[in-house]
Amino acid sequence: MYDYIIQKLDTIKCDYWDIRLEDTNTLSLNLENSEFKVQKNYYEGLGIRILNQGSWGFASINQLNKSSFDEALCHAIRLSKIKSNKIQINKYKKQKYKDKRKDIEIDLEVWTNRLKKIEKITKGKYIISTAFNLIHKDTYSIFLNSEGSSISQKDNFSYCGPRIIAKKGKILQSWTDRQGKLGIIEKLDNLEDMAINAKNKVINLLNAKPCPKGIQNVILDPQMVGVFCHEAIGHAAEADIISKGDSILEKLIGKQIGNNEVTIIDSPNEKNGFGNINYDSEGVKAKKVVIIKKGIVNSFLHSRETSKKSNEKLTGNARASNYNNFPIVRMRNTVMLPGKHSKEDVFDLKTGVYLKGMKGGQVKTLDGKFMFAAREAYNIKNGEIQEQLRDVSISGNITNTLYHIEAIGKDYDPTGVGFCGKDGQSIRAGDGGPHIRIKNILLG
Amino acid sequence: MIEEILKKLKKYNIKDYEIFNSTNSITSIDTDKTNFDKKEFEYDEGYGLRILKNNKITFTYFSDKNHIESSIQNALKIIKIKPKLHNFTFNNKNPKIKVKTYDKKIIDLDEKDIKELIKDMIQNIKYTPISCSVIKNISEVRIINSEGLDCSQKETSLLAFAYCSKEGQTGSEFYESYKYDRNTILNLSKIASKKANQKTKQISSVKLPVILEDDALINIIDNLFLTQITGDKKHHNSSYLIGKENMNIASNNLTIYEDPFCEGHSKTNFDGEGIEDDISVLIDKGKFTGFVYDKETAALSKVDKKGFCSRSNYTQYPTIGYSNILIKPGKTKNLEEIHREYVVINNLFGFHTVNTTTGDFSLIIGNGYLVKNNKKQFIQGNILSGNTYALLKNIQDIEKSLKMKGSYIVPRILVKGLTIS
Repeated sequence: MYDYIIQKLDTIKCDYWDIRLEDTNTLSLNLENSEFKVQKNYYEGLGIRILNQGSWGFASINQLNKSSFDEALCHAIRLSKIKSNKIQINKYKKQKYKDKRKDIEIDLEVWTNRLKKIEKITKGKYIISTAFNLIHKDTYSIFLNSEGSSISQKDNFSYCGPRIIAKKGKILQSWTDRQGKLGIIEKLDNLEDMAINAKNKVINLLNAKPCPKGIQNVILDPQMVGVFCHEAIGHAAEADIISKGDSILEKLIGKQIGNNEVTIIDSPNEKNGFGNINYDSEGVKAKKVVIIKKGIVNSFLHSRETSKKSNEKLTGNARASNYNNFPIVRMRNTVMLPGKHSKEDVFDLKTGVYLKGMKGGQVKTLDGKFMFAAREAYNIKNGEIQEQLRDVSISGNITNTLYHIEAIGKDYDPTGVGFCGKDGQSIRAGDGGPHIRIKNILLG
Repeated sequence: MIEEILKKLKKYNIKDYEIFNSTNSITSIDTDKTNFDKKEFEYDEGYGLRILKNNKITFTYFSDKNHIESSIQNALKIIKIKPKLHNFTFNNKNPKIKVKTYDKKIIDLDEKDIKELIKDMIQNIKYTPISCSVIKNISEVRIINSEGLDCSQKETSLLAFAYCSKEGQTGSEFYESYKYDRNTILNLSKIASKKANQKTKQISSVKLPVILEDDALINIIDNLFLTQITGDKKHHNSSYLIGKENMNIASNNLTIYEDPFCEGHSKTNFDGEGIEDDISVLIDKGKFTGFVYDKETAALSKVDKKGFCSRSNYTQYPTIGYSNILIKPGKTKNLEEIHREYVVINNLFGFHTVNTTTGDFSLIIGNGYLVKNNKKQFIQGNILSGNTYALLKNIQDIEKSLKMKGSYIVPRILVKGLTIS
């Protein structure tokens, strides 16, 4: 089949072509109040991209055979004939890479029994609903292009998380947690501890006070810092968003936008990083990008197209969530690097709020406005953690906030787990950083 | 392919089954400012198979005949750990096809027509275009099962989006329908331009009547109400509305219903299990009429309800979902004539941060305006906070005219004193 594809594509007159052939096995196991929902599926397909006289055409089909390929090719060629302003892309040296293919068999009996045991741990007073989710996705992809590259990669990850709801009188609270690891499902660790923690946390939330609204000084834990780096900085640094004129960072290269202790990177290779990748979906080896260096905007995340357009080096940030998606500029692990402050320094706050764990967030990349919710929060008095608060979110503007960072901790945790959505594509992404202290931020 | 599937089902002695076949042809064109950047075509066809055995149900899907057998084997492996259902049978009544769910004008649009449409959209943008896009989808759905059901329908969908900016202020608007309406699509650019031209600022904290319109109201109903009335939420004890069936949860001027036959984007003749659709009232003059179910969740919960099964394509496990959602209009011509001081909110964001268990929310105002001393001040960035159920109870009035957006047809509603900080 591959010889057929290459033979056929080599006869086409175009500036560039690439093709991705993928097959994926998924397992999703959900135990909710002693009832299992389970799905075990397989899917496959191919996506062809052609750059023809400076115009892209992309087509995909959910089968891997010669006739499907022929059909997709026809559509890609047709679409590439719709002219655009001449698009150029950066070329890249020929790559040969092959991961060993290994079928992963998951023992359903072992995992269903383990989940049943975990569920038992989470039952108890005040608990009215429990759910535990376990997902494994195992993809093998083959990338071929007109530069002669042939890259066969496996991409598998495991993910799990509990959601527990507790009720005391009229007060209802829920707690969700998550853990993600690249590789086999056995790499997920401490699931039982995670469940016990979730149960304790939701019960504590029942007694938490509502969060006071207004301007406050805050301390963010590595997970909250990670979300800030991803949502507020990472998206604004995606060169396709910048190219459209939709980013606050567009004209700020070389400009100081924050405290000179602030360095934020997007890295494809962090220890236990959930967003680690080897090659991107354009066959480019993934490289570290320093987005903000000592408070100064340093560089952006690129695809072949955006790097050519802005005369920047390739970074390997073009990712497609599946064979049926056009690769677009995405993050890998977006993290703030540690600073020089001890934990005591960071917590040296007369009054404020400590926010931990991520519960969701959103950002407007053009004006830099953001809002993030924390999973848990505590009042801080004279550097000590006090009573718990609930429903805490912070909002503000990216650049103001970076200037308001007062202290960056020496600690470092880059293992934040997320699935990032953009243009209808969802990809795994990691984030993290140290503890930090920010002054004057709006709590809601 | 159906013949092949039936052969394999026979081989494994499977007598109760349902086959959901879908095909999708999607063409999309997207611009980077004014440049036609991404042009994509996607075709997928496949089969979602549900098997009922010993009162347990299992699901699998495949797109290639070579994978039918292994998929069935996988499905039978996992059925062992599935919960037992109460009185579950597949639907045995073929639905009547009452309404047309496709528009030939969409089928006939080729990529050149789409390009011309986008060109015209860009021309209608007054300020700096960020992006314009159009996505066209032609799909066909067929459901057959062991009870003799065999129903099918052709569907079309057109999504258009205009996005622009002026001096750091953005404006966007979308169109989503099963019908092609060129004038409405071209008008998106004008609405987006109008939003980008608003000189906004953050205002100091106020507690005022709030008029919710458009995206703001739709997102509140969608994220904070519709997600909480699905039968699985009741079954798993995870909705704030448990115990509130047939009780007043909203002001008595609020009626919300699902209408599969009206002209909204999700117009359909049957649900994802082939059950003939009908109009269903969800909130009747403030009273919550009860949780909604698909057949599988109903059988799990031992209730006799159905008709709310949603399946976007063959890969999706049948889940509870809706067709078109409508809010019954009120009698007031213009809600802005009721109070001298009020806030109008068009768009909110930050819905990822809401507490869906309690209904508490703090959301950023994306677009809106404050009217005070007969002056209009556009606002952005302020936070609207409150509780969904308090909000529903505090609806003071509802406007007469309706606006269609995707699968929603809604008027503007006026809510008493909400906090904006």
